[in-house]
Amino acid sequence: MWWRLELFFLFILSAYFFFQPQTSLAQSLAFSRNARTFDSVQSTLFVKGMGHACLSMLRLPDGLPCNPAHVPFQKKPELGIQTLLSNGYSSLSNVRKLIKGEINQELVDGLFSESKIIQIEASADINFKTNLFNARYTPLNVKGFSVVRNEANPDVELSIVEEEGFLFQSGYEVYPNFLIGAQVRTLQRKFIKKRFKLVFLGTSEGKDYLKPETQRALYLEPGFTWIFPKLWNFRVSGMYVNWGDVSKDYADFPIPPELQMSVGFSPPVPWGHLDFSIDYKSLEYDESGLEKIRLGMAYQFGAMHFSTGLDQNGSSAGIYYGLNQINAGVMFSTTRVLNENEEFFTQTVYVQLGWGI
Amino acid sequence: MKSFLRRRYMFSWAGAFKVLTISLLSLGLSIHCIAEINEDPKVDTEGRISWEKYSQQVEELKKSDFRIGLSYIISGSIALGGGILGENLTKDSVERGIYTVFQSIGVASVGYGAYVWKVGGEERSLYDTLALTKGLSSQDKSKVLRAFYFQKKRKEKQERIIKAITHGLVAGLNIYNGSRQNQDGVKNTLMFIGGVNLLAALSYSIDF
Repeated sequence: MWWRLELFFLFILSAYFFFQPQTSLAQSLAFSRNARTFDSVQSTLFVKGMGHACLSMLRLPDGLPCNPAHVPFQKKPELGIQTLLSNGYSSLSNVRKLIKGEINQELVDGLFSESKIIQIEASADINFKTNLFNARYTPLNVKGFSVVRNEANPDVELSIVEEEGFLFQSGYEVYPNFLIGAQVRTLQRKFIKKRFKLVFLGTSEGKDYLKPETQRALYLEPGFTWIFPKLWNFRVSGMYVNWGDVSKDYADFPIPPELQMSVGFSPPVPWGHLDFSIDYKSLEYDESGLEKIRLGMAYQFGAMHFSTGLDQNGSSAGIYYGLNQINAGVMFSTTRVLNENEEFFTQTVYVQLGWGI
Repeated sequence: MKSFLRRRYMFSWAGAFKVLTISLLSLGLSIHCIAEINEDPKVDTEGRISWEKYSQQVEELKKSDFRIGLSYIISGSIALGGGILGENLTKDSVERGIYTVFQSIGVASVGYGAYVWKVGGEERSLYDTLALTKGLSSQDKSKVLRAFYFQKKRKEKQERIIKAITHGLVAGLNIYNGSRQNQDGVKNTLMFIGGVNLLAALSYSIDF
């Protein structure tokens, strides 16, 4: 039976995704981080599950499509709220205090003395989707990561970003199976990206050292998708991202424009819907060529949406359930972080809860 | 020039977008929505279908409902089992909460699947009712179908208008009160509620 061959293929690929040894990572210790949280990228649980290989995905169950050209695939108007939280959320309050500039010794002890690695991501989105345009308002999006090395005289690497933003996207099918679209992103962010000795914070200069920087940005991001329906719905997608202007450039927080490309296909399966996607895109500015390759798979069956993804920096798998008004998901990712010549495999759990009308 | 553009456009968007951009967007869309709503109701292609064609469609629909229903039953069972297992494995309170939601969605999904399979939508109910009614010719049944879909279209439009107005009023009330607030926390909360209801009003207004 033809579909048995495909299921076998699916099984092999899934097994590869899960058991593939992770070969590279953080060439330098600077700002090593979770493989599914990126300072300048906002993504939903499902997208994280796919390892951000989502550019050729025509529909996403828990958010706006990654590519604005896919707006016409929205079947009916939807309004929903999604809240995402990663483990390490106990640090959320302290991280937010830091980004607000409320620094004191108790906060420093709580953040840097209790654990070597802190990683946290939390966000809330309001999504509005139609087949003509989509909009997203993000009242809060916090990402924090810190690594403490050298216990005798601790060195700290700290990266905290807090964003608030609005996204508007629209798309149109200009020829049969050829779609174009564009999105406008506005955001204002506060961030701290520093390396310092922990004792330095005890000085008066040290407190000023962690003063957050602010930045406002406006991006216009066009995209396209070309679909070949007879070839398992094979798709070629592209998008030019981060094209716009910022209120002030910061050398330690570069976000260069980039052309991202993706191919995807949906082999027929007897039950449910299966998608594969391969993206070539940067999520951080200093990624090498191989690091930009991201593989993703998604399978929808009834109320269940399963996603898995792999790239050089980590692997992930998540499951998301959506039924009528309520939806929820959980996702696991593994990242290898080098720290003091030891290898730490950090496991991160993300949870997401949503409500829609 | 560049700095002028920044000041003129970007900061006004990125800085004060919370209210401004949502409001402007909503205003523009509302005009479009009103135009949509004020259109005369028209009978769509569904209203003109014949009884024979409708019968074929409903038979296909029953087969499709069976597959969809079974999908939801199986995936719901997985969610229920996985939710129970996950809740027992994890010690994290937030994660446990999500697994509890999984269980609820699982049970609801099984129920939904069974409903889709065995009951289905109103097309099936209408079909069964007409099929069991004796003394009606195919032409009579076609007329009933046309009348039914005509009324359905009108009712749906009225329902959406009522919901749009209700959400719109709630939005206006919250945004107005939010704009008069001095305390940031309360102001943001009211604006947030206002924004959500504004979008809800839009979602009910748009009928593409």
